Amino acid sequence: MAAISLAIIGKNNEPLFIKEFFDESNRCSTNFLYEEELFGLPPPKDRPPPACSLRQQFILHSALDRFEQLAGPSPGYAWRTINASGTDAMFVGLLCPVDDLRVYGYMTTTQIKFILCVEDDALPDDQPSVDEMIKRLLFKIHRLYVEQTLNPFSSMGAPISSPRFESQLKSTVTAYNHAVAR
Amino acid sequence: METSTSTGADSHVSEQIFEFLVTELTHYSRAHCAPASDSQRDEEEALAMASEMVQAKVERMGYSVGYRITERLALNKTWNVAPNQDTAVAVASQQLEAVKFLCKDVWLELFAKQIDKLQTNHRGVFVLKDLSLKWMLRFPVGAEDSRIMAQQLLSYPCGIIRGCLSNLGIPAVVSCDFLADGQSMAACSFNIKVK
Repeated sequence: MAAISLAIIGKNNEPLFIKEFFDESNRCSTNFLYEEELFGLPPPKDRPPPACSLRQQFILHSALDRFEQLAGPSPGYAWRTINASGTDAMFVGLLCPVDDLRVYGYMTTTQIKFILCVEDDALPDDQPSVDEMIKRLLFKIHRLYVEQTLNPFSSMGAPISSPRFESQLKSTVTAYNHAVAR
Repeated sequence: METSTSTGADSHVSEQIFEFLVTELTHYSRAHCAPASDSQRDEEEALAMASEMVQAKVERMGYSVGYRITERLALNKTWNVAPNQDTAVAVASQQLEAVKFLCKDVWLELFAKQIDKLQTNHRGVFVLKDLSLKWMLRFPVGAEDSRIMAQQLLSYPCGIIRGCLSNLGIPAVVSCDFLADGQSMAACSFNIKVK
């Protein structure tokens, strides 16, 4: 159930952060296209390569539609069990399976959406404990996000560009991936 | 005032020091928004203009603080809205829950007390009354200067309220008033009007 990619979506469905987790060694350049290349234009030289492959971007985008369906405009919160509170109430759960992946959602009280894409290789019996682990991972990511917003120099509601956030996120996700690796 | 970060180690800020900081923040804004000196023919207007600018500046600072602190305080906070409701009813109850969160959690974090009184007309207008706002307790009563300064300082909590609500998805206009003009500057009310 290794984590593959993560998207943080703002209040008005604007992307705040999109990231694919991969080994630098097996990064396949054909998957990481600049937007310019989609239209046959030459790739820009002054920007670092995209942080997320096209396939993952498409998956995260389509998962957002499903998210909207569940969370929707008020009265939303259809996913919540009665009397759930805190993290349990924020965890939307499985949004949809895509090929060999599963996409999970999480929405904070301040309407920030987290979409996490994981490998689908757990046995059916393990599913409850797996959900629990993903919930915990998403809560950790939520805390990292909060820490990032508390920084008075970060701009509010703008895409996240913080090396500190990235490195903390990376270590959190790596720790999780190690824990679930068999 | 107390802020705790999620790293585990709680960091605290001394109340007195924070009060000094808030006062100095107003001074700083006043120094940066001096009335335009070239418009001598209408000095009064220039002064009023400068005062407005100071209020706007302090309010913006408060907005940023309110916005960010809400993100932190709402980390473990959810409120249940009964499903299958009429949209208008659901929106109204959402707003009420958000304002309650502001009165309880945010105020507790900032001033170690809750708001004294919350009134609403259930149509998007809320009036919050705090009878002894900590930052305003030491203001002298009666002097005109003190009143102007107090008004400027009060924009800071106004901004915090606006930032908090805006992060919870409620765009609002916040204004403030003194309740007991002759006796104390610390009794004030905040009027919230949801846009």
